Amino acid sequence: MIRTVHLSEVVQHYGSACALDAVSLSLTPGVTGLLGPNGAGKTSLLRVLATVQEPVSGTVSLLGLDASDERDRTSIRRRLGYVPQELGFPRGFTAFGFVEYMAVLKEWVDAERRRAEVRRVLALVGLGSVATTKVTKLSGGMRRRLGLAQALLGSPEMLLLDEPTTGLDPEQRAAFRALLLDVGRNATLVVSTHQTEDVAAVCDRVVVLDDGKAVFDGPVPEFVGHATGRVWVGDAPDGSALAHRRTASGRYRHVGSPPAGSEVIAPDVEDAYLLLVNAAQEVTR
Amino acid sequence: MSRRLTSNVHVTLGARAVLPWFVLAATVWTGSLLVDRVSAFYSELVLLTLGPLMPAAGLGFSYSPLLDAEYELVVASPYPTLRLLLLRAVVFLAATAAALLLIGEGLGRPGLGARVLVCATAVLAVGLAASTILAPPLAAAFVAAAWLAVVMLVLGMGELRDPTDSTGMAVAAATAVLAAAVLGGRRRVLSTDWRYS
Repeated sequence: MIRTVHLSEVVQHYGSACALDAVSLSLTPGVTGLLGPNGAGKTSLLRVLATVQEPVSGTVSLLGLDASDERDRTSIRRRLGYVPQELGFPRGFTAFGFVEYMAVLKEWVDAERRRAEVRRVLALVGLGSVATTKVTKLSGGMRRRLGLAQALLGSPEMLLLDEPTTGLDPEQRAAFRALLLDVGRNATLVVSTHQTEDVAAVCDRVVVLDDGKAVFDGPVPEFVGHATGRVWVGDAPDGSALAHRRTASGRYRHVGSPPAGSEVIAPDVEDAYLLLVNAAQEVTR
Repeated sequence: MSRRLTSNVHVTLGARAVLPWFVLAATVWTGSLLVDRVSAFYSELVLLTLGPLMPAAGLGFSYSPLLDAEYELVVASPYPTLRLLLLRAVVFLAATAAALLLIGEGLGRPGLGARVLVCATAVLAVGLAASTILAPPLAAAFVAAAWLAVVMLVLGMGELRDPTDSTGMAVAAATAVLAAAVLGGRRRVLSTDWRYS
């Protein structure tokens, strides 16, 4: 399988705060989920991958090109789609106008071809019927999809999405995941998210960042497998657990070292994530 | 047509930079006109001190992450950095030129607007050259500080009270040419635009 993303010992600082601490990664086409607590470095990593931010040190190779080389970087940007976490929209633009503006920035010079492409991506995200509606009149979910539409211009080989499902209702989220699955068939898709359900639903691979370090990088089944035998349920919170959460049935799901006689169950992505992050924090303490 | 025009205006100026720049520029222009009713000397002083900063300020605003809502998308796009920088510079310089010439007429001193425009061009050129080292907002701040220091120095010299006299014009023109040469020489560095982040 072709490596489309290769990061070696990438370090990023903001003043004295270390956002990425010698992160090394290799990704192939497919959907990769980026999980981690707030401030773990997910957005910093996506910004480096989007060539928006230069790392302090380390090497970044994207789509077989060197991101530190000026010409290569422009080539990467021609093959890249990016949806930042905080995507602002200019006032007064319609959905069509906004995506067309982005198409101008992405060097769609021929007006006829550009408009056809804008119509295509709007239809792809289900916004064809609101193309002439002002962005300010669109719902939060529609704006998220509009952000994705601009990223899909030109069918990029690499797509970077920073928390794309935040603010979506369950129905919109399901539709969005279906779209991501579709896009991920032909591209390298990296999705930063707090929703472990997103990872379970669309990702082939998961990278967990904690305190700027990649603490896990591998296929989703392998990630979940790490929590096998470490999840149990009970009728009340168990103080010995590393973490617990109440489920829809009213019972409590725990991760950690199950006490003798406890009812051990199969883990899911959230269990594996809670186990990994809480165990790491336990070690730090 | 209007959609295309709007897209191009946004590409050129940065989406939300126009309004704060317009407010700042309008304050300076109207300020100098209002002050003229009280004192022609102070009106000229306002115009000479702040007028030349306007194009560079616009450029700084247009690259500000705080003012450009699509800033990250602009940086991540393949649109040539040098072209975008120069487009924005030309648009803000043209807007400043039109305002200065009108104000010069309004004050009854047509030559004043033209002289301030020469200084504005020099300041902008230095700002563009500085953008090969610093992000445009920082470059604009640097060049503004440098210009204010020059004005204070010149005004403090006593007999050379007008920084836009013939000597000042010659120095400004030479500075603009020199800065343009630096920009041309360092244009490849400029396209290494990670620093705008």
